[in-house]
Amino acid sequence: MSEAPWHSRARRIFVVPAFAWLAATVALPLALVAAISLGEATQGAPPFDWSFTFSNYAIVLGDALYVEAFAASVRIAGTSTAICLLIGYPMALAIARARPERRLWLLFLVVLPCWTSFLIRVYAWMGILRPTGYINSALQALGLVEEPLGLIANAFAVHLGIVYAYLPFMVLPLYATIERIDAALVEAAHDLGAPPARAFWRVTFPLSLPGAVAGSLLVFIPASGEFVIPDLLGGPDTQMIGRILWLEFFQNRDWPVACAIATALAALLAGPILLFDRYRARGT
Amino acid sequence: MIRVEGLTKRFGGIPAVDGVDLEIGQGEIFCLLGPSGCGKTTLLRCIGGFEAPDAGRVLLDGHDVTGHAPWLRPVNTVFQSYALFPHLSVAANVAFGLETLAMSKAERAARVAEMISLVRLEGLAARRPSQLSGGQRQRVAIARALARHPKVLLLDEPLSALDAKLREETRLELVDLQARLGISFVFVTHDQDEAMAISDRIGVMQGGRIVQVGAPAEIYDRPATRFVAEFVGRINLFARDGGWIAVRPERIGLGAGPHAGTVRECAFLGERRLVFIDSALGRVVASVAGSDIVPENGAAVGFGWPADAERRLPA
Repeated sequence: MSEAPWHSRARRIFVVPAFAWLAATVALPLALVAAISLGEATQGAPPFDWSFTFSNYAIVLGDALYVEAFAASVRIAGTSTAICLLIGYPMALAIARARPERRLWLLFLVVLPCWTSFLIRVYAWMGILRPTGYINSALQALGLVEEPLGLIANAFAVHLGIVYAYLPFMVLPLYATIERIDAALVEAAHDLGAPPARAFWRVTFPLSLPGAVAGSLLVFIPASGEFVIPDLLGGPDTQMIGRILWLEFFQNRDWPVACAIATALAALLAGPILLFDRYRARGT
Repeated sequence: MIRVEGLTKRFGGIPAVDGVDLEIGQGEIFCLLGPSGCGKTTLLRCIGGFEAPDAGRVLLDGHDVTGHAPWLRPVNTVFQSYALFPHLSVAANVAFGLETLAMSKAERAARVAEMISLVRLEGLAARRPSQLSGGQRQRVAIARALARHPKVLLLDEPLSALDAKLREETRLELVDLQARLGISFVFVTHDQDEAMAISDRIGVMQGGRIVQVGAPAEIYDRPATRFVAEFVGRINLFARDGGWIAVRPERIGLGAGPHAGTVRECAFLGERRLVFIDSALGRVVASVAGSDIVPENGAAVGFGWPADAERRLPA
């Protein structure tokens, strides 16, 4: 150890605490959750006994409610991610191509909403969308509608909330990737006979894909497990798995089933992350 | 082939290119030479269509292309950092410019193969740019730019990213390539040796203007201004009659001579030796053959030059 070169020792000084932190705050709780998912529910405190049974997984996978909720989560998160990509890509492109002194301001505006608590921003959408909210009051005052529009407690509101909340996570990695693309490459494409649209699709777009993939994961993964948005803006047709998890844990107090759901969700989300890793490994 | 008339390009009100007139012939290697910031790259970019001039015209083959976008001009560029598409193979980089031309697949493949063999990159067609050496990347950039059969090839400091040895070899290859293709090459460089070695004619630029155009020997032997004399090779300048007398170091003879001085330092460069002399005329540099015997540092030395070695320059 004392013979190790200074840089390898220095690396240890920085890397070991980081890994210790990750182990204590991520790996350990995850292992605990996985262990509880194999236990049995009881009426005690804590409300489970250690065991080694897969019956909780059988319950989760055998019940249409849970499977439906998983499917709805993936569907809603997937659609929201696609919408974020469609809105976020032109935004990121425009920011990357803006004059340098303006870029900082535009990025600042993208991040600005994050200065307010996430929860409060979702509550604010309730105030905007509910039957007696700003939109419906305004429409009724103007005489455009008789009855309030059903803007809340449905899939529309959940998608709106997710896209609104997670758009910055799509824009930022996309911007970082597009901004790094050498402007000379686009000029070279023009030089070689490609007008702007062709140069975009043949050069800028393929080189921005790593940013699009990173942004999509940053939106899709938290959106799949989202609990607050479907709880506050959703309705009976938007039973996302995060909400079911919460109900199992706090209302039914069935920790083993809740932990089985959480473990299954983590396994489900590990898929796209591993895919992204392989994609990156291939790219470099 | 190329005519530039009264071309002016300003950035933030400051002219980068300031009223340039220029004519470059068919099959000529023309070099724009000057220090950084002299406007040579901006002038090249105006010819390529990447900058819109504020005044003046660019004519190619008699056609005014001033307002034409780069993708509509019959010229192609070898960029300074090559700007190869990192996500495409060597063959796909070379084929890029052919995609918008009306060609059959077979014709296109044949042209790509022809270009790759022209720059001797056979066997590397499937590689990505990141898997190539600097010299190989430069060849890909040349092959890619030549694939569209441009009337003029523009090269922006194409050798600056190569190491010294490779640079000399590549110079010769470029001259050879141009001779085979017979198209015009317009070259931008700040390296006077490079410009001298490969150009048919050189345009020396200073402050956005072309201060002298001529063959390398003409520029060297008969510089039009003090700037040109000092920028192209070494020069001795002596004040006389309100102007300057310029004498190249290799025209200064050591030994008996009308002037006297003290040897300050000798720099041995292999085939040549530079002798720096302090004299009443100021610091004088003489270039003698490396094999010549020269006085030691601190020794008194006489020197002079023939009358035809003098070049009068305006103040």
